[in-house]
Amino acid sequence: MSTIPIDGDTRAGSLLDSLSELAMRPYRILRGNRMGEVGLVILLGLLVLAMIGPAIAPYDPATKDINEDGTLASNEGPSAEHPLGTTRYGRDVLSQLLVGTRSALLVGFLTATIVVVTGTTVGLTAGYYGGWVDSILMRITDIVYGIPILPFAIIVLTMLERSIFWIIFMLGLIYWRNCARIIRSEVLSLKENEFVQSAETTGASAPRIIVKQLLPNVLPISFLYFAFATGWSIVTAASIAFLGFGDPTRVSWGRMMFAAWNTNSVLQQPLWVAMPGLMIILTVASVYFIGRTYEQVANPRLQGDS
Amino acid sequence: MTVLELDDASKFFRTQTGLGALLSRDQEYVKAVNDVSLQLDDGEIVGLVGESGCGKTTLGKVVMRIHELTDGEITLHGTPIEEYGRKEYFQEVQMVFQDPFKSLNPQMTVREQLAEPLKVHGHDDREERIRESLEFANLTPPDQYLDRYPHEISGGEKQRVAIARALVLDPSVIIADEPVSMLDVSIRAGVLNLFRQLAEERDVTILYISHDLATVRHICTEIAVMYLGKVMEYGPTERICSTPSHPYTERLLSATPVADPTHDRSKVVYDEEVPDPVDLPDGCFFKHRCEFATEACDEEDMHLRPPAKAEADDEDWLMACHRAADGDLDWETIPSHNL
Repeated sequence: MSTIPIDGDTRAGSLLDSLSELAMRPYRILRGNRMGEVGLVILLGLLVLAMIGPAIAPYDPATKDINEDGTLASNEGPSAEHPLGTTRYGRDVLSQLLVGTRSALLVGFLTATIVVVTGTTVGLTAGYYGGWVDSILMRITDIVYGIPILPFAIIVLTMLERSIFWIIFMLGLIYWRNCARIIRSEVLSLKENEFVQSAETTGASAPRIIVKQLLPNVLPISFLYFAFATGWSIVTAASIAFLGFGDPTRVSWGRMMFAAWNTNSVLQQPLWVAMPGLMIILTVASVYFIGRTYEQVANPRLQGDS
Repeated sequence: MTVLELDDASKFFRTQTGLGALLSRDQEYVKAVNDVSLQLDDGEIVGLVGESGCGKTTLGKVVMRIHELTDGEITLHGTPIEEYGRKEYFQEVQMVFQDPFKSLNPQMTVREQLAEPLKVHGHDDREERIRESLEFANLTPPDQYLDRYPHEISGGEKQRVAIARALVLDPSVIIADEPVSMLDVSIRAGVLNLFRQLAEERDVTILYISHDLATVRHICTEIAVMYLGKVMEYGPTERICSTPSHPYTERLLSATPVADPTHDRSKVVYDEEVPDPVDLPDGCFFKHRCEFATEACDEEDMHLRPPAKAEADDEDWLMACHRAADGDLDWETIPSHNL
């Protein structure tokens, strides 16, 4: 398991050092792996776009551009003014694309946070306690596995409110299931290690054993599921938006595609639908690259077949 | 003074659990530990030997309260162990596990491994205790080990760390379950001597569980031989090893490898299977495999009794065989005994 290189001299340092060491660990794993590095560079680029996107966007994504002759600049192809053309309603595609980055990453990262926190907690609790606690938690997981996500999301969003935060909440509420199962099975095998029994025979409480002994050993898996959940949730949120149930107050890639489809503009202005699609693929691919690299390192059996 | 006492301690496991247990009318039990009585005095190292599956590890886990006692009683300093709070009990009784590769948390430095029990017990003088423990376990200077992770030290050093971890709470009893079986032969003696040192210098009582008679002989003051959850023979190490009197003890000893190529290796190989611990026979559990067995062995129970020929200094010598205790076994008839 000693594939994570740890420099012998830095370890004796202060808490700050050990914290920065922990923070650098995901990066150190990616270093030297081409796929992981590419993923990281793309993701960092997207993060920058998410932060400054609205500021560098050449137009307000909602402003309709009127031609000099007074007509709407509808479904125009690429030009110097509009590098990616305009929408049916004369809005700048590039600006929408830039502004939409923020919603995508917001959905991705917030959902992944809910997924990892819930999944890790459920997995650790079920795996460590076993017995009826395990039975109940795992039956709940089974039920969540049975929920078809799109119909469920559409019904709930119709009943409640079509807001980005409800979408995040719902996706988080469903996608923790994979994480919980994998972490539980990992805990079941970790539990057989005598260091767990050794901690039990000091009189340590169950929550203490979970946090001190088990959690550090399953964190690599949590990181992995953070990456995966980011990808799943961006794709699903885009699907929800494409079906017309996205947050109407926000510009998002999924809603761009929905609008292009809805106005029959896919053939006239292919960039309107292709560019957001490309961005989704790029984002999801970057987190998957990172996830795959991480998986290879966290699971020594996968090493060497990259 | 008696520190740890087992009085007819038994541990049975259900063969069926969950739904099966609710549905089946006759519950069956695996009788892993069966009426075991032992007395451990302070500074004594008692070896618990037997083949695998004889219940010796289960017995250790019962003492560690990992398993609950089915029947009988275990007392520590005269008080039943259930009456201790968990922390209070584990302050006194600690365990060293078999596999040092699994008994240390791979994500913790040596310092963190040793600090954890102290934090659980709310000790403030952690750094001193940790250093003192490491020094006792011969991991010197401690500074060289404190900040290392388990994968950065050798197997022998790992087991020393595990021993040091058991010592930080300053227990009066240590249960050592096969503590050297995973270690390289060349470093076993060093770890074994550590246990002896613990008993001699710190008056720690040690229950040393092993299938390896060579190591048991090396450090134990007394030996208990177990078979199918029962103690078959108990006595001072010298007694048990030089003049084994119970047929099973004799068998176990004759199976120990001897480092002598001219040694006659003829030994009896059993045809009979070990009885099923779910369905134990009446009378003696060993009778199927014992060449001395008579009809009386179906009747006679297996309580421990002193042998008739016991001398004055053999007062702790006990065996569960009525024939051996009466001294009417003719050892000359057994090939492996005439080596």
